[in-house]
Amino acid sequence: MNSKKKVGKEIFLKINGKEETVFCQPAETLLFVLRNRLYHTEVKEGCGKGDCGACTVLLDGVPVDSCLVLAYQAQGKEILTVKGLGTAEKIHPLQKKFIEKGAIQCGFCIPGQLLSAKALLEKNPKPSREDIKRAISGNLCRCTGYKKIIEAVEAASKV
Amino acid sequence: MIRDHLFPKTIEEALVLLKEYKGKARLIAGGTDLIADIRRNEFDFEVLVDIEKIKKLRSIREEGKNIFIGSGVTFTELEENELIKANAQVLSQAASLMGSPQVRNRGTIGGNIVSAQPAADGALALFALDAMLEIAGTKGIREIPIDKAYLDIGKSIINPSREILVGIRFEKRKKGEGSNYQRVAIRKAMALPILACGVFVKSMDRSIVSARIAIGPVSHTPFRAREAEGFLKGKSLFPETFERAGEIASEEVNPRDSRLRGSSIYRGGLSAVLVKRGLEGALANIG
Amino acid sequence: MEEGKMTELRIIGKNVPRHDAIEKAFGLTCYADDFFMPGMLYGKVLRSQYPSAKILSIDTSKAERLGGVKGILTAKDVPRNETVTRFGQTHAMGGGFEGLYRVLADKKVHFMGEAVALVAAETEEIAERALDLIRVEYQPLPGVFDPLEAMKPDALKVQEGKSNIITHYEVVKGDLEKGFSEADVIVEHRYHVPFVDHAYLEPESGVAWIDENGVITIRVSTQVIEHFRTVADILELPHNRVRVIGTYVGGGFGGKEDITVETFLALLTFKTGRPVKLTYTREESILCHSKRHPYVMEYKTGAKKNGQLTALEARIISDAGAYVYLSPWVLLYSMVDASGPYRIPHVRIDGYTVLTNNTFTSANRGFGAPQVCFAYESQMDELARELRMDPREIRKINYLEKGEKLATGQILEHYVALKETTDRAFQALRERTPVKGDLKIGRGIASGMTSYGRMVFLHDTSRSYVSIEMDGSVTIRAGVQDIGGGQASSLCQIVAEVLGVPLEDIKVYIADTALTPLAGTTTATRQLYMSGNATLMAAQEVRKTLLKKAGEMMGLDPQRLDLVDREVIDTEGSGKSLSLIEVVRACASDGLPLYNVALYKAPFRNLTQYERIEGQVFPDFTFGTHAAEVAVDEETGRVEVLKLIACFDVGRAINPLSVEGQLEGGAIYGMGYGLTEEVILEKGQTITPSFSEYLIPTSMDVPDVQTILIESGDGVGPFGAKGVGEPSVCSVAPAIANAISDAMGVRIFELPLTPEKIVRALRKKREGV
Repeated sequence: MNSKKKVGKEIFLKINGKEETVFCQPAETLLFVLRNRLYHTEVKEGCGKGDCGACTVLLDGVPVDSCLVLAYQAQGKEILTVKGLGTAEKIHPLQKKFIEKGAIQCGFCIPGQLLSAKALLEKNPKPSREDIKRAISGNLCRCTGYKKIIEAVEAASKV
Repeated sequence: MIRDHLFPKTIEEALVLLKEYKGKARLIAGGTDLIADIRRNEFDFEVLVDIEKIKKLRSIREEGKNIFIGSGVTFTELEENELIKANAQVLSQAASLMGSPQVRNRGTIGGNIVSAQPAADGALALFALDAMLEIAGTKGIREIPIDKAYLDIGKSIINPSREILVGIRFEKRKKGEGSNYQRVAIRKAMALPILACGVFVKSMDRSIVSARIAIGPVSHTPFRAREAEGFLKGKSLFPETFERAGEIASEEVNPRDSRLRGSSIYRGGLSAVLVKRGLEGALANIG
Repeated sequence: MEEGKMTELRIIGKNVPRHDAIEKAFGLTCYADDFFMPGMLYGKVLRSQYPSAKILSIDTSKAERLGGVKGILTAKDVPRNETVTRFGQTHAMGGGFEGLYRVLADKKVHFMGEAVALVAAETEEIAERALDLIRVEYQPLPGVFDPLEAMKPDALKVQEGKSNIITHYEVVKGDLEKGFSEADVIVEHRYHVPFVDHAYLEPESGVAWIDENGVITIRVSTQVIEHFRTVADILELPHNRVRVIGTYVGGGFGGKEDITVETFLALLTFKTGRPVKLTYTREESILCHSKRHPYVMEYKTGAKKNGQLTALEARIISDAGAYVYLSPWVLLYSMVDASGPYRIPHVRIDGYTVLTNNTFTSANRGFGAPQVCFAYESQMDELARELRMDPREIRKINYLEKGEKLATGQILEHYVALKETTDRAFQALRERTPVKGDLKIGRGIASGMTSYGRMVFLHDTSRSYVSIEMDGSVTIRAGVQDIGGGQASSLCQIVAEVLGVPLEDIKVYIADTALTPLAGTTTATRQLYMSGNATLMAAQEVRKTLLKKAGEMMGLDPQRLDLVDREVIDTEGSGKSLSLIEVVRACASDGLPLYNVALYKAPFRNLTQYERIEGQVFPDFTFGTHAAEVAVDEETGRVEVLKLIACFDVGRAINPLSVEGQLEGGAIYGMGYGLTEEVILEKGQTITPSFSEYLIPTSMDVPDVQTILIESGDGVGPFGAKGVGEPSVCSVAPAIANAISDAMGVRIFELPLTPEKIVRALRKKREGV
C-alpha cells in the first residue's frame, strides 16, 4: 500500500436522475458528500447516526439513513432526494397534500418524511393508517405530533 | 484513516483481500454498526471489504431439511420473506421490531451477529432457533452453533478481518413446532429493548417435547434459559406451566442494575412475563 | 377593522397554505447549516471533561501548529468574557433577574460540557483533530448535583462567593392556618419532574462573517436576534456593527432562546477574518444546551367536603444548573401558575431556584408551567379521590371565572373557558375502550392555565413595517423569528386581510437586525399577540392612507370603502371601484407614505420588590383541558395512550390548521414529557447522550390526537386571538398521569412514568405499602 497516494477517488453518484461526479474518501458518508461536496442541502443532518431519519434518501427506491451509508456504497445506485420528488413546476401529490393539510411546521424532518412516504406508496398504494405510521416510524418529528403528516400521506394515496 | 473500500464479487475474492491486508482490512455489510464506529473514530482498520456484490450472501433458500440465510440479507428482507414467515416466526417478528425501516433496509443479519450485542433482536431469535453459522476462512469452511459465536459484549468468535460469515442455517419448521418473539421497550420504534425474548417450542400430544428460550440483555451474551427449558420438557400445556417456566427463567437470569435499561429486579420480573408470553405465543404459532 | 367597512373576514380564519410550508416541501429552505460562503472555515468547541474542576493550564501550541488550523481562542482571548444574560428585553429589571453569562470557562469549569476553547480550521475534520491536540490540565473538584443539597448553608458554592440560591419568591394570600383548619380533607404529596431536552431536529448552527466595514454578520438558527447586543458587548463593538440574521429555525421550543453559537461564531470570524460555520453534533446539543428545569414540588392542598378548595401550601425547588440564565424567570412563571386556575382563599407558595454543577437549565416550552401543572392537577385528582367526587366536578366547582383573581392578585380580565373545555374534552373520549386481556383501561383529565405574552415588567414591544410597492405587491419587514409555528406566515395573513390582497402578492422579510424592525423574541408564545398586533397596526395605517386617497378620487366617504382583491370597492352599492394600483400611484405621486412602521406595546408595569409576587404579571392566559384514555399493561408497565383530546379556547384561530398543528404537536411534546423523556445526569454526567437513549415519541407511539377549538374572541392578540404554542403542552402529562392512576388504582408522583415505575408502584400497592 502506497501511503503517499492521496486517499479517495472520483466516484459517480446518480442523484435525482442525474449523474454527478464527486471526489470523496472512503470514510465519508453519503450524507456528508451530498451536503458538503454536492450541495444537496435538502438532505438534512439531525443526529448523524441513524436515530432520527432526517437524512433519509431513497437508494434504489428504498428509504435509508444517508448518514449510515458510505458514499462509496452508493455508487451505481439511484439516489432520490426531495428535490427529485417534485418541484413547484411539477409538484408531487405528497408534497401537495403535505402543504394543504398543514403537515409542515419547522420543516426540518419533512424531506425525510416525504421520501419514506413515497417509498410506502410505491410498495403499497392503499396503505392503512397503521401502515403509514410504520413507514414513517424512522422519521422523528418534534413539531407536528405526526397527525397531519399521516393525514397527508393518506390523502395522497387517494389521489 | 480508511484508505480504500473494495467490492469483491465472490467469497474467495473477499478472503484473498482480507489475507492480503494482513488484518488491516475489515468486512462491511450494510454498515449500520460499523459507520457509527467510524463516526466516533473508534476503529483500527484501513481498508473496507464490502460484501454487497457477493450474490451468494444475499439469498434466503431451502436446503433440504434446512433454511439457509445469507449473511448479507437485510432485516427488511427477513421480515418480508415468506419462507421465514412460515418457518421461523420468531425471526420475522424480531426482524420487524428492530430499529427503524431505514435501518432495517440496510442492516444485515450477518453484521448483527458479528457485532455480538447481547440485546440484538436477530441474535435472540437465532438462539431460539438453535441456528448454525457457516464461516469461511482461508483454511476452508467451518460450522459452529450460534451460541458459541458470542464471546463477550461486542466480541464475536468471528474475526471480520480474517473470515466471512457466509450464512445461517436452521431446521425447517416441523409439525408441532412454533416460535415467537416478545419485546419490551420504552417506545415502539427505534428503541433498544429493555428486555426481549425469543422462544421456540415443540409439542406433541398436548405436552412439550422441547423448548428453547433466549433472553437479552441480561448478560454479556444472549442468554439461553436452560433451567426453564429443562423444566418444560414433558410438561403439559397448562397456563401454570408457562408461568412457572417464566419464574424459573427469571431466577436464572442475573441482569445488572442499569440506570438506563432498568433495575435488576424489574428486568428479572420482565423475564418471567416475556417468557410466559413467548411460550403462549409460540404455542399459538404451531402449525 | 378601523378604516372602511368589512363585511366578513376573508382570510383570517381560513386554512391558507403557508409560504414557508411550500418552500419546505420542495426542500428549498436554507436552514443555518445549509449555508456556505467562499473561504469558510469550520468551528469546533472544546468542552470540559468534568462537571466541576479547576483549569490549571491550557496549552494550545500543538493544536495551533496543525496544518489548516486558522484560529484558537480561550477565555483570555475574549475581549469581554463575562457579561449579563439578556433575553431581548430593553428594560433592565434588576433584582437578580439577569445572571452571569460567561463565554468561555476561565480558571474553573462548572458543568460537564462547558465551553473551554474555540477552534476554526479549514475542514471539520482538522478542527476536530485540533480539539484533541489542545492540552487542558484539570484538577477535578467536588461538585453539588442535588438542589436540595445545594440549598444548605454549608453546601459547596457552584459559582464563587455567591449563595447557590439564586432567587426566592413567595406568594402569600389569606391565612394558611385558617385555611387548613377549614378543610375536611388535606392531601399532601411530593412531586418530581426531570431534566428534559428540547430535541429539535435541527441542531444548533450558524455561519458568521466579517465584511469590509468590520461589520460582523451572524446568520444563525435562533429565537432571539436581539442577542446581537450581547455579542457586540462581548466583542467590545458598537451594537450597530453586529448584525444577526435569523434563519427559518428547525425547531426551537425555548432551546434556541439563549445564545448558543452566536458568540463563538463572532469571535472566530473576528479572529480569523474569514467566514466560519459552527454546527453542533446531536451529542453536543444534548450535552451542553439548556434543559428544562427539574423541580421538586411539595404540595399540601385542603378542601371542604363539598369540594371547595380552602388552602394551598407549596414549596417549589428548581435546579438551575451551573448558570443562572432564565431560572428566575421560569420560577416566577411557576409561582403565578402554581395554584392553577383555581379559587383558593388561603395560599402560601415558596419557590427557590438553586445552582448546581448540572447542565444549566433555561427556557423550554411552557416555561415553568408544565412542572407545576403536573403537581396541581395530580392534587386535584387526589382530592377528588378522597372526597369520592368526579374529577370534573371538583374542578368545575373551583375554576376561576373572568373578573376573579389569581392567588397573586392578578385579575383575569378575559373569558375563562375552563368549564366548557373540561366538559367537551371529556365528552370527546366517548365510550370507554373495552378491556383487552391483561390491559387496564383508565381515563383522566387535566386543565391548564398558561400565560402568553411576556411578563409585563419587561415592557415588551414589537415593531412591524408594512409597505405597498408601485405594482401593488406588498412587503412586510419584521424582526420575527420563525420557528415553525407560522410566525411569519400569520403576519402575511393579517396583512392580506387588511389590504385586500391575495397572499401570493405579499412577501415577508424576517429576522434581520440590520434591516427589519425588531419584533422581540419568539418566546413566551408572544409573536402572534405582539407582532401580529404591530403588523395589524401598520397595515391599518397603510389602509387608511389608501382609502383616504381613494375616497378623494371616487368622491366618496372613505368609511364606505373596502379593499378587496386588489381593488377599492364601494360597499354601499354605487358600483364605483378603482384598482389598487391606481390608488397607489396617486398616493406616490402626492408624496403620501405608502408604508408604515408600527410599534405595539404590551401593558407595562414596574416591579418595586422582587420577593413577593403580587398583581399583574402577564397580559393574559390561555385556558384548556386535556383528556386522556390509556391502556396499562400491568405485567410489563407499558402504557399506551389510546385517546388524547385537547380542548382550548384559542380566542380566534387565524389559521385553524396552524392552531391544530400547535395543539397536536404540543400534545405529543407533553406526552413525551409524561412517559418517555428524561435527560439522566449522574453526578453531573449525561448518560443519555444521543437520540438512542433520549427517546421522544415516534409515529408508532402516538394516539390520534383530537383537537377542539373554542373561539371566544377574547384574546389580546389580533382579531381576539390567544397564543397556543406553550399552553398546548402544560396539561398533557398530568392528564396522562391521572388516566394511569385511574387504571392502576395507585398514583406515581414523578415523571416520566416509565414501565418500571409503574410495575414498582403496582407491587407496592399489592404489598399494601
